[in-house]
Amino acid sequence: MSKLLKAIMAFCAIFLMSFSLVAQNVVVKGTVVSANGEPIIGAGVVVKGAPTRGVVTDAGGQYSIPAAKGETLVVSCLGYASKEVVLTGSTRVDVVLDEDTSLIDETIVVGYAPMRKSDFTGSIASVKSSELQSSTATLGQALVGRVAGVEIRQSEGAPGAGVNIRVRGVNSLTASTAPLYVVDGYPVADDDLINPNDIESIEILKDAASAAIYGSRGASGVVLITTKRGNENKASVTYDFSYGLQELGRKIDLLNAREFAELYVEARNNSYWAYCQKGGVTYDPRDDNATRIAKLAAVGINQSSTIIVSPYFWDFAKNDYASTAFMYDTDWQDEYFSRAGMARHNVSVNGGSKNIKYMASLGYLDQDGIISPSGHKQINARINLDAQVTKRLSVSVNYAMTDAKTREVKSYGRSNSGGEGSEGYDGATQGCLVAIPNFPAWNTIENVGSQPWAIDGNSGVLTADVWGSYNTPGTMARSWMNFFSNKYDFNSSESPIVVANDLKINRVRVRNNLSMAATYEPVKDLKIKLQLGRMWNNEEYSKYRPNSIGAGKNYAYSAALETSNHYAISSTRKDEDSLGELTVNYKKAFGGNHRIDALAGFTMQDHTVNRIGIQAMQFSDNRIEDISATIDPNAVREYDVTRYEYTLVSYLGRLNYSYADRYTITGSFRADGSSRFGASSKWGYFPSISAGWTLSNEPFLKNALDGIMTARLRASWGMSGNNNIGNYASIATISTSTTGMGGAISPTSYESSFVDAGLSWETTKQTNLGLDLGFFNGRVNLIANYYNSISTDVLYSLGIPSISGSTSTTTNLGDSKIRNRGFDIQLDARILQGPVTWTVGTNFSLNRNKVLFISEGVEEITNNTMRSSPTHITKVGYPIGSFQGFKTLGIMSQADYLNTLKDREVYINNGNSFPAGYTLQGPAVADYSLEYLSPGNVIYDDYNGDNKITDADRQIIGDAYPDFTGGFNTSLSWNGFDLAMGFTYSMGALVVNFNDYYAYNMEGSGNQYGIVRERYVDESRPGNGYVPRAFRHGNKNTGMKVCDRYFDHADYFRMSTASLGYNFPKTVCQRLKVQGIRVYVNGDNLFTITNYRGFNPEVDQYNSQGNRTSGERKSNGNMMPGFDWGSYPVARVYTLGFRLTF
Amino acid sequence: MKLNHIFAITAIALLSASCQDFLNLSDPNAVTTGNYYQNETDMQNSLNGAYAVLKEGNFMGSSNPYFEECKARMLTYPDTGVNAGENASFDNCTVVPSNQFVLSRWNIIYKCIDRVNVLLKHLDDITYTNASVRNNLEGEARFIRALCYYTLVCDWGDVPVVLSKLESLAEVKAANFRKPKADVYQAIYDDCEWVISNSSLPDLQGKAGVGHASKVAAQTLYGKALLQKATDADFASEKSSLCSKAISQLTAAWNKKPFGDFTTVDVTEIWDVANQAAAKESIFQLDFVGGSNAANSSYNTSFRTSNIDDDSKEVNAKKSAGGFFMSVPKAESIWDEAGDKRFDILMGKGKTSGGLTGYYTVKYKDLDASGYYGCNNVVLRYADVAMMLAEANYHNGNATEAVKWVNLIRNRAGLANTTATSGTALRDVIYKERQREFAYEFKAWTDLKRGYNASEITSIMKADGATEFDNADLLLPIPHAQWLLNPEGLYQNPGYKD
Repeated sequence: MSKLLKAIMAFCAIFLMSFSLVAQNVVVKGTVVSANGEPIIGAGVVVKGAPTRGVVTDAGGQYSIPAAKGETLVVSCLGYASKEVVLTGSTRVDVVLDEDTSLIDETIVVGYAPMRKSDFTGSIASVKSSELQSSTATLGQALVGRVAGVEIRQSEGAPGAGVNIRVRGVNSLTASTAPLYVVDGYPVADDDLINPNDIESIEILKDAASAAIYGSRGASGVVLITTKRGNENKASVTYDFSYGLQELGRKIDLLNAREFAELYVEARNNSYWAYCQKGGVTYDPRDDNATRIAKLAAVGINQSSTIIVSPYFWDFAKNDYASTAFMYDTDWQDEYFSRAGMARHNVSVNGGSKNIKYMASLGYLDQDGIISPSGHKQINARINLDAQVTKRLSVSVNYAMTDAKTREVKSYGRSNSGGEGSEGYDGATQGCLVAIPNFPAWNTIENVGSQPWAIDGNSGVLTADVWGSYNTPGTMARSWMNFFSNKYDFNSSESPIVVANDLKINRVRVRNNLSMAATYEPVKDLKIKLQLGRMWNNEEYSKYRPNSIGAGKNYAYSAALETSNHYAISSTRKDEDSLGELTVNYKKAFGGNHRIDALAGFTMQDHTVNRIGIQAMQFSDNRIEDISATIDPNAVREYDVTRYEYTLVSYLGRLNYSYADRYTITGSFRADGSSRFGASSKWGYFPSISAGWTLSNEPFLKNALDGIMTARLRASWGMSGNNNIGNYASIATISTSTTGMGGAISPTSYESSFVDAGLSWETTKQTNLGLDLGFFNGRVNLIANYYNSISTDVLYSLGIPSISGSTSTTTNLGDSKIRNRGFDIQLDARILQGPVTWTVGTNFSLNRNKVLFISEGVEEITNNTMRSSPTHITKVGYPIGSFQGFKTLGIMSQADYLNTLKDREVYINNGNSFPAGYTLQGPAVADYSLEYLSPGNVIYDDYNGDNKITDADRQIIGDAYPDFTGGFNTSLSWNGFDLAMGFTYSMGALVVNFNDYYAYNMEGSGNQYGIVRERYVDESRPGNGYVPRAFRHGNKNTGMKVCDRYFDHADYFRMSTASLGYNFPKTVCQRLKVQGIRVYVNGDNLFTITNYRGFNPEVDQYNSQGNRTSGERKSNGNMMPGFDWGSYPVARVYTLGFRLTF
Repeated sequence: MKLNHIFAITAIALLSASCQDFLNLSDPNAVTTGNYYQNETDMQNSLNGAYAVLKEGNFMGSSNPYFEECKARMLTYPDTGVNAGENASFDNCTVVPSNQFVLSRWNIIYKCIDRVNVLLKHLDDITYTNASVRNNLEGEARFIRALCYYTLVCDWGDVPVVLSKLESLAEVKAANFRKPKADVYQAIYDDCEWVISNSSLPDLQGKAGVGHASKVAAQTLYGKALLQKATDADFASEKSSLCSKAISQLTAAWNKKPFGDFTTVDVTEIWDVANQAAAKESIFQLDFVGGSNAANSSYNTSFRTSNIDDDSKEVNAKKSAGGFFMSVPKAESIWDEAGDKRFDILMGKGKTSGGLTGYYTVKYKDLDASGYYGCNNVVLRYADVAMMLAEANYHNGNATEAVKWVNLIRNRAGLANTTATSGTALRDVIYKERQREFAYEFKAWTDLKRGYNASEITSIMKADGATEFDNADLLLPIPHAQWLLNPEGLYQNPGYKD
């Protein structure tokens, strides 16, 4: 065994040696051995100051290098302390390297007190600051593709928006599954706006045994962030500057003006044809609008807007497209998206003496969004102080401040406008998809003045002078689709650039966090730490919707907007969080082989939220974009007003014992008392146990494997909770109303609803099995984990016995079972070290989610995303929020159509049903009315075989969870240059692209995806076999049925980062009187290979942590994953930057 | 001070901070049940909250006719496809366990019981100016609860009995099983008994107290419940003693009447919306106040047919019509004696519209121009006491006394004494008189079950054209959605398929 390994080793070493560089001077030879005399293979031997002269030791630990007397050899190898040897002229220099104990004793942040890395037996993902891409605006983006078992989705690209981090799958139906963040020991709900430059390391606790120390908040994983601290060196000042250019990463294929006009005319004619069939009148596409209406009216069919064609597009006299139809060919994506700059400045000061260490930083980010005028300005400041007050007492003070001002663009949502408070509307990105290319984005001399087709479009409501009054040259063209919607049934969306520019949404977030800790060491190895902290979080949100944005059929500035679509909202939210923590930590090694690490603690945390908002209608002057300008101060209403508080008291303990660095066992326990839990269940208990066995340290293997391989097995089991269950859900409240008593209207009061006094956290129990392998002195490392987690006590509002006084209540479904199981692998290799270093790393994650049981009598829960479409189903045996819809079998041919007509005969003659045992001749349809039967319709799968297409034929089509995800990174450095690249991929997930409801509906009432070119036109032009015929009327057989056509594959392969940097040589730096200079270019999201039809395959509307008011966050978002409703696309970013260290 | 001491003190301070206070937070956005009950007004409002449930549509409001008039085929609700035809399944005798009206009725009655139980739980949270205030609150609350259980036992037979606030889901689950009818009746009797013996409620509330329960109300309900049990074949052995008890309660109620000769009490007196609160005949009414949507009723719109024949018999200001009507042959076969004031004054006819002609009632007439009506639901009145005395005496074998009571009602309505003197002929006269006297008063089905046994009812219903009627229809099905939560404990009534 060991011979074979050594042979492999030798081969590797020779391979590595081939990179060594040409010799000069005398040849110095020698052997590099470890303290116990073993030769060290692969150690780097470099001539100091001449990095080009370096070699690597071979399988016998031998090296030979050309060097001159007086030069210094630097001998280094991972796991050993480097050694420098000054050449005295001897040609043989043997070197003994000592094991680097600091490395072996490397500690890791695991919650409350650091632990020796070798003693940690849970599952953790660790990322050092040096591994983070430094150019991204947020920390989350920098983590993309870096960690196994952690899904980091950039589901939203708006400036100032965070990412979704999900650790090992979804384990709740309604409670948030965002992980807990702990910044320098302070647990917070999130910290999207932390300055990535301040971060020293990030640890993500993945398994329940590790997270159990965070008890009722640990079930979704814990992200531990450690910021940089001062050191004993003399002060150094670092200044970073970068400038980035962002642009739309992927442009969507949409129809151009000619293609849209073709679709539009075809859809109207096909609808006219369909009604002609119904009415039994002759169809002639040359019939003008008046003839069409009259012909159908004569047979009792009253149709107009769906069967007539606007003269703007079609000239019946010429029997051809009107000249106006192609006046414009607007590429709305070009109008809506733009290149945007992003500048960052960072200054940090780091230094200290033996007793006082400090780190202070100031960061400024000014980021414009790719959808103008969105933008984000952020200031981050941080001061970390550490003082050794006496020999036994040390004190540290952390202060961090964030000030972020964001100008938002309403990207997500339905493009139609909605009334006051209808936050799901005014979606500009969907508006960009459906914006008709034949309409202008900007007013020019030509399109102002009186336009007969426009006025015709609005049925005379709009007069030429009104039209002219706001369509002045040089301004944005407004409301074209709004007024064409009135008579010709176009989508009533306002121009996306008008919505983006005129809908004023601003958000200001200010966070201050002050935290102080004192550590007292009464005897050696015993540390008592007291931490006190407070965090203040303020958020101001304001929105002003001027009447310059059309709404529905009402065009900009029309009086009808005043009653619902001219409003302002202003709201503020104030959070205050206080933390008190006392921990005692004892570490002791004794008897040579025994080592214990014990922790006990007590914490208290209190969080208050106070939210006040108002909303007003009707404003006289759009220049005052504030609620104060309402002309009706009496109409000001409450908006989102609430106040709440939650508290948590916890006791925690952890005991770690290791023997001879071979066997490690850790047990932890936490008791959480929470104000959120019901009166009868105030306390929750979260135990965990884990063990590790370092195989390679066994005496019988140690020598054989030394320097070649380390191996360690880990196993853990733990219990953690999710306490995102609402604040007063277990407290019964009183409602009031009125009734008649004694002949008078009298007040009544009553308990609002039954509450479950036993309401408590959701519980996740997870088992983790892990394997850590290291090869060649740690040059190749593999970490693999398998886990199986079962979540129970899932929170849901289910039917309860009426005798409780209510019919449903929010409760923990005790028998519920949600399983997540899978594995994650992280493989890192330092292929080259020495003058050229080359590392590669890859990670792979696979998770399978399954609902094993919901509750007695509950098999499934369906959820409607939009437009009353039950797109998602949570069903026993399937993943949470699986997609359901109809399966399609193709497109109805002329022959199918004729067969369907035969079926129709039978159906009608049998009294609107089929005789028993009847075999359909054509495909099954939902409705046999003639206007719904046509060649080019979709054929749906009659799943239940009842000869009819009904809702019962919906099937589970797939889900939004990837089959597997992963990433790989590589970095290469040589002579001051460094090159790094990161890639990420995801396979097997689906997304319900609900923009399809408008952009892939074949109506031609708004623009459509390019795929629509492949539609069925007639037998000679059957298209691609799955895109149906164009129609404008509500065709019950094809219409808006949510089918597999709307569920897109969201597989992607993305180059998430690439950077090239150069560190100026010391000599240059010294000449310039600086410590270091680095220049770099970076690229983020450089390319994405995907077949996804929308902008971003990572979209997840209801789980986005992005800009949302509280009313817009869906509590049951977990059950509606992978939903695209126009989220802000993610940008590609090119960055140029430099770093100066003084 | 030594540093160790500072630490020790801080640690103790942290640990001794009262965890329990720290963790017990209450919702600042709402008054919680825990801290709501502070004074007598809170208690009174809470009681009003229980009364309010009685008036909700699904209980004694707009859906009530489905369960009484429609079930007895006194009223029809044509199948217009509304609510998937569920409205029509009551008079068609095709009610299924998934029927939403049945579920809503079950839910609302238990909601009412829960409100009573919450109030009773908190009744002693405060001290009262006068002990009678407290006892009267309890008395009224118990009366409401007894009324709930009376409805439940008549509609479903065995039902869960909950007499105190259920605090936890575990308690809810444990209590969610059907208890025998006898237990349900006992609960009613206990509550009524308590009102009569322990409360200091007035015998009758009078105008100022309209809507509130009284001792006579409790006695009448007590009598009714005794009579209901006495006429249930399952309690045949107790029939005589129950009838005697019923007679004694009803007689006590009758003796407290605020009028002399009942025949002088006008039949329309209690239906005059302006004066019904003060009506002499009144025992217990659900009080509604018109003029705004704060406490209004909608009975007159539910029962008005479209196209009224006689404009003087218009019943509401908006001329809005509901779906319920009494078909022509039915109405004419009930009121087959000339000179019946109740038909001539209190009934109106609609013109044929869409192939349907029907009679409606003028009992809930209110021409308030606001469109919000104040007509009350008269739950208990002296005519009912008199008729129940007739029933009780009949069932107890005292035909002479029974005839006396039924004649009292007939004479008041302008009819001569009955010719029937005994046996089923007298029984038929009594129950037909009830149909006429209490038409549109949500008593018809329950009354029928007191007068006739299962096979007789089947014959009556079949003769009336209810082809789908079978024994299952005697009781309502346990609502499917609730049955699912405990199929064993909430065993389905016979004849229904879940």
